Amino acid sequence: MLLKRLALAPVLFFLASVLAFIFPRLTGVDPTQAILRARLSERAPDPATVRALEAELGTDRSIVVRYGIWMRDLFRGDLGNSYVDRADVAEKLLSGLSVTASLLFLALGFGLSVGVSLGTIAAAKKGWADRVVTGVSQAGISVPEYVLGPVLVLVAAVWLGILPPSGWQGPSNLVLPALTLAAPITALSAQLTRAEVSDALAHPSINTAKAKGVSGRSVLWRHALPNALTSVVAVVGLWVASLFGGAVIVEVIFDVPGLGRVIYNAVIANDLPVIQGGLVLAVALAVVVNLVSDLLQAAIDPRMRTG
Amino acid sequence: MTKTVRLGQAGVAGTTDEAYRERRVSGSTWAAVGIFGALSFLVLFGPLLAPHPPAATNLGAALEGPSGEHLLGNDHLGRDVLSRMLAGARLSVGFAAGAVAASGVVGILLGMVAGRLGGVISSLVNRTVDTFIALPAILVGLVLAAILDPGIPALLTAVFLTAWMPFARLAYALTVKISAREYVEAAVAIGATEAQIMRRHILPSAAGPLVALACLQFAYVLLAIAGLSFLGLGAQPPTAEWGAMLAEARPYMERNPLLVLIPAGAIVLTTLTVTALGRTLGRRWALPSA
Repeated sequence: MLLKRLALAPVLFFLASVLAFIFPRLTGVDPTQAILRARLSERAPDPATVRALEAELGTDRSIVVRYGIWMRDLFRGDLGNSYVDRADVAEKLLSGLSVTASLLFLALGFGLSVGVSLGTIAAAKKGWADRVVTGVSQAGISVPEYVLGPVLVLVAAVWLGILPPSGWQGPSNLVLPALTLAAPITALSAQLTRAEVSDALAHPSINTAKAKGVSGRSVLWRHALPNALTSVVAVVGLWVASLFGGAVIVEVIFDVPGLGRVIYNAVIANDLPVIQGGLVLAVALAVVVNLVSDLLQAAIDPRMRTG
Repeated sequence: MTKTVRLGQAGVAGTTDEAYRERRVSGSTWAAVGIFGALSFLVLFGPLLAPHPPAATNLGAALEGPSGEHLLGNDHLGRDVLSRMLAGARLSVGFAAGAVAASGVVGILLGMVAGRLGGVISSLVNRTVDTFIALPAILVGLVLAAILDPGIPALLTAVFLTAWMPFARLAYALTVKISAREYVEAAVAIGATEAQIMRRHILPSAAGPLVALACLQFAYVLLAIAGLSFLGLGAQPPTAEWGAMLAEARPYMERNPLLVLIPAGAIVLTTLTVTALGRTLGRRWALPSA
């Protein structure tokens, strides 16, 4: 199982690189024209500039050769320069990635710890606590980032005035975007934990533990919860993937200079090298996240190691 | 996503008290059915009820709050919010329904064919689904918007490309499970073709869980459509679409918070309703809750 997935990773990466490479052709955008438009806006380009640019881009060579050159540059960490501001694409993407990563870690950490605790309490207490957690998490899943984000801004920034509505200057700027991203994670992990802990509590081993005189609290947190966590870990990889989608929206709403917004701006401006680099980076990230989540699962759940 | 695998082994619901309670239709389900009915009515007849043309501007009355003439107030161009919400209902919900139908048909077909024929087709479909099922529609939409230019075609393609996979996965699991039953074996024995077996034996038995999934997918697709339009990658202004309206209202939310709260509320209410229905149906047909 693990090996099979490992073998798939390079294939996926190759497919993604081909897609990223031919991407400019799919868009039907002439790179020369796109650069000129981005740099000169409405002014008419002069023919000498056009020729110089074409030579610089190497548009006259065959496509296979160009793919080879592109891949070689890719492995050297050279993703070319932005059409819009000539900035180094790799640097641009990596600085965005570091911002997005801090946001994702914060959201994931907050969402998982709160969600798992709430789910465990709901499964153990039943009654009204269960109903509240179930209801709130159900609602949390139905509230997308682009609804929660503006509503949080309205409440915390406009009405209460305690947090900045957008920007990226200090730690206070992290709160609203991270909360917005964490909401679905909190809800999903609460639901899943609740279901899994309920299942685990019904397992015969729990009766054995109780019969041996283990306290109720210890049964819950030391025996039932670890069993439940294996399935939470199993889906965290999938959640991280959807977090990247959410990050685009959150970064646009809160004006956060993360990877999502870098790519979003590139799409809006037809900045092809940035989109190409973003595609490659996104696939590489997805492969790594999947791998880490598989390894994590194997570490937690002994049954995964053999299958 | 290990959940669907468990579904394949879930079997027929039992007859214990637990199973009875799970099948009982709760009050909140009836509420969901009621709201769903009202929403469907608005989608079908909303534009007829709209008090004003949704695109008619009146800058003199921009950002005004609710009044007798404009029940939900006006937006930044003085357009009637109620009329735009009604026009948007048809667009958001209509597109979501269309996208779910199209992706459902393709996904179910692929899943059934993979389940019946096995071999290369099965591994091709299953590997594709395993690999790409977590791909967020927003990211696909971003890439497609760069290729096709932002707009409705790019939006619907992105949603379709991601939405068919859960259908294929569930249809595959159900087909494998149902194929082990004796009546399918009997059908094979009397020489029924694969097409006949799928249509007359597999599909009717698989329909329940698939309909439940379609409800959940409807919610997912609705959120994706509104999200992409919110980012300016789907429905373009001046089109009235809930996500696009939300995005247009953000700069003015200090002066008229209702402009944000109304489309936001509509999106959440619709999603909650459809999800609740999907879950109820899912419990009835032993679809897992996650």
